[in-house]
Amino acid sequence: MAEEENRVILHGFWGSPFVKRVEMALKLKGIPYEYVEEDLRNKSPALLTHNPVTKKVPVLIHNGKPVSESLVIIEYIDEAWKTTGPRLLPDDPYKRARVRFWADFLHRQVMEAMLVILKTDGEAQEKAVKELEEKLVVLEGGLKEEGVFGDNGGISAGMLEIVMCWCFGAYDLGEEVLGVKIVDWEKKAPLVYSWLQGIREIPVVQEIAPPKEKMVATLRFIRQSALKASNPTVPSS
Amino acid sequence: MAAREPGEEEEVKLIKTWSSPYALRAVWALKLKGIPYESIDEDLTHKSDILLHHNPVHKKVPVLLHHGRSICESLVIIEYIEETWSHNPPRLLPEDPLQRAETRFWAKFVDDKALPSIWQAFSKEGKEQEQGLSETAEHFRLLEAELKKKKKRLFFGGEEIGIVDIALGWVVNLVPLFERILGVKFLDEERHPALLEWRQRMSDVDVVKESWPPRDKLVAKWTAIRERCGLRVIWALKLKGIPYDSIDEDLANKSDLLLQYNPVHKKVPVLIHNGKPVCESLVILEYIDEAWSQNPPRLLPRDPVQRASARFWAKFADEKVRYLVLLT
Repeated sequence: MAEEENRVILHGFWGSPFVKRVEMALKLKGIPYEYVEEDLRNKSPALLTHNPVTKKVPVLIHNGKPVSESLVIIEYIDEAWKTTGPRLLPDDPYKRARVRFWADFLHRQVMEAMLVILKTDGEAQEKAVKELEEKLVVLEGGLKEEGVFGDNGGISAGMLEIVMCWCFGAYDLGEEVLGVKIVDWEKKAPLVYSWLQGIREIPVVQEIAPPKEKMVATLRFIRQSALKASNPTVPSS
Repeated sequence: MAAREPGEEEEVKLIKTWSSPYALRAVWALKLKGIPYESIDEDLTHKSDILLHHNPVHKKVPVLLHHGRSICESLVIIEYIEETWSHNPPRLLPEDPLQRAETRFWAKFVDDKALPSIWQAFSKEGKEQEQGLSETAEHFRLLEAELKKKKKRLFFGGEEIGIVDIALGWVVNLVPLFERILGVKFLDEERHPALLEWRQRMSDVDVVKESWPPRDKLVAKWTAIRERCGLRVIWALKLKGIPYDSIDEDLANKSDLLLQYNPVHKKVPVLIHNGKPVCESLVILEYIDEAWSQNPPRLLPRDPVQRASARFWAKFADEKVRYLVLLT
C-alpha cells in the first residue's frame, strides 16, 4: 500500500517525558510523523494491539510495524533513518556504550529518584533529595571525565541530550509544585546544570514542550494523590 | 576496529564474580564470538581497586576492559562486543533495524520486568511475594507467547542464540533452583512447552554448558539468601538475651511442624512461643519486643509517632536491600 510507505505514527500522551523523548528524536532528524494522543485511562485498540506486552506509550509505528520503549525507539530511529538528519548516537562502539550507559543511568536511577521526591514529604523526601544530589555528583564526575560536555563523539544533540532534557528539563516546574528549590544545581553539579540549560534552548525542545500550567497542575495532582495514598502515620516535618 | 591486526594482542579482560548471572551473559558473548579474554574474579564483600576504578558509578560486575577502557552493564557490554567484533559470528542482534528494535525491547523486558518480579517472588514474604509470583507468571506467559511466534521456535534469536537468549540465561539454571527452594513451579509443560524446550536447547549449547557456576555453591548461596529473614529474628532474640531452640528447615522438604505452624505461607522464619506460632519476620520482631518488654534493648521506640517511623524505615530498608544480593 503506497500510503504505508514511510508512514510514521506516534502514539503518545502530552505529559509523558518518555513520549517527548521520541518526539524530540523525530524532530531532530526532521522526520514527519502523525501524532495520536492517547487517553491513558481509555487506551485505544490500536495502542493495545501494537504494544500488548506493556500497553504503554510511546509506541512508534513505522510502515505499519510497531516499536515500543522510548530508548529502543530512539536507537531504532537512528538506525532506520541513518542518513537522514544528524546522528543520535556516535559511531564509535566505545562511545556508544558510554551513551547507552549514561542514558540507562538517567532513565532508571535519576528519574526514579525525582519521582520519589515528587510523591513524598518529610523524612522520605529528604532522603530522596539526598540520593538525587549524590546521583548528580556522580553524573557530573562521570560525564566530565568522558568529555561529554560539548564533544559527544561529534554530536550536539543526540540520545543522551534527549534523555537529559526530559529527565531534568522540567525541574523548575517541579520546584514550583513543591514550593521550594530542591537541589542546589549550580553548586552540586555546575557542568551538568549549564549543559542542561544549553539543551533546553534547542528550538525543538520549545516546540514540543507541554503547556506549563497544565504540566504544573498535573504534577500537583500526582503529588497530592500519592501523599493521600501513602501511609498516614509517616511523619512529616 | 573489527579484525585483529596480525600479531596484535587485543587485551580483553572481564571483571566478574563466580555467581553473577549478569557476568555470565558477558562470558557467553565473549565465548560465542571466540574472543580470548582474561577473567578477573571479584569478591564483592571486598571490592578490588580495579573494580572501583573501572566502575565507580555502580561498583558492580560485570565490567569489560578493552584497550584499557571500561564498559559496564551487561546488555551494554553485549552490544559493544557485537559492534566491535562485528565480523565474528554469530550475530547476537539481527541486522534489520526493526528486528533489532524488537530484540532490544525483549532484552529490556527481561531486565526491567521479568528479573525484578522473580526476585520479589524469591526474596519477599506475604502479600509482596504473592504479587511477585503473579507478575512472574504473567511475564513467563508473555515470553512463552513471544517464543511461540518464532517460526522455528529454536531460540529467541532465531536459529542461533542471541542477546535475548543470553539475557534469559538465569531461567536455565536459577529458576529450577528457586522452584526447589520456594516449593513453587514457575514453568510447566502445560503452560510453557516452548520455554521448556528452549531451556533444554540452551543447556546443550557448548559455551553455556561449560560456563555454569558450581551448582552446590549456588544452592547454598540462594538458600542462605532466602533464609536471611530468619537472621533478623536470631539477632533480636540474642540482643534480648532470650534463650531459644533452632529448628533448621529443608525448604525443599518442609517439616510437618512448619506446615502446621505456618499453614498460610509455609515459610520460615516462624517463632514458636509457648506453643503459639508467630510468622513474618517484621511481625516477629514486634512480638519479641512486646512479649519481652522488660528485656533491654527496646527494639522499637515507645512513642507512637517514633514507632510508626521505625516501622516505616524497617519496611523501607526491606525494599532497598532487594537488589543488593541479586547482583553479586
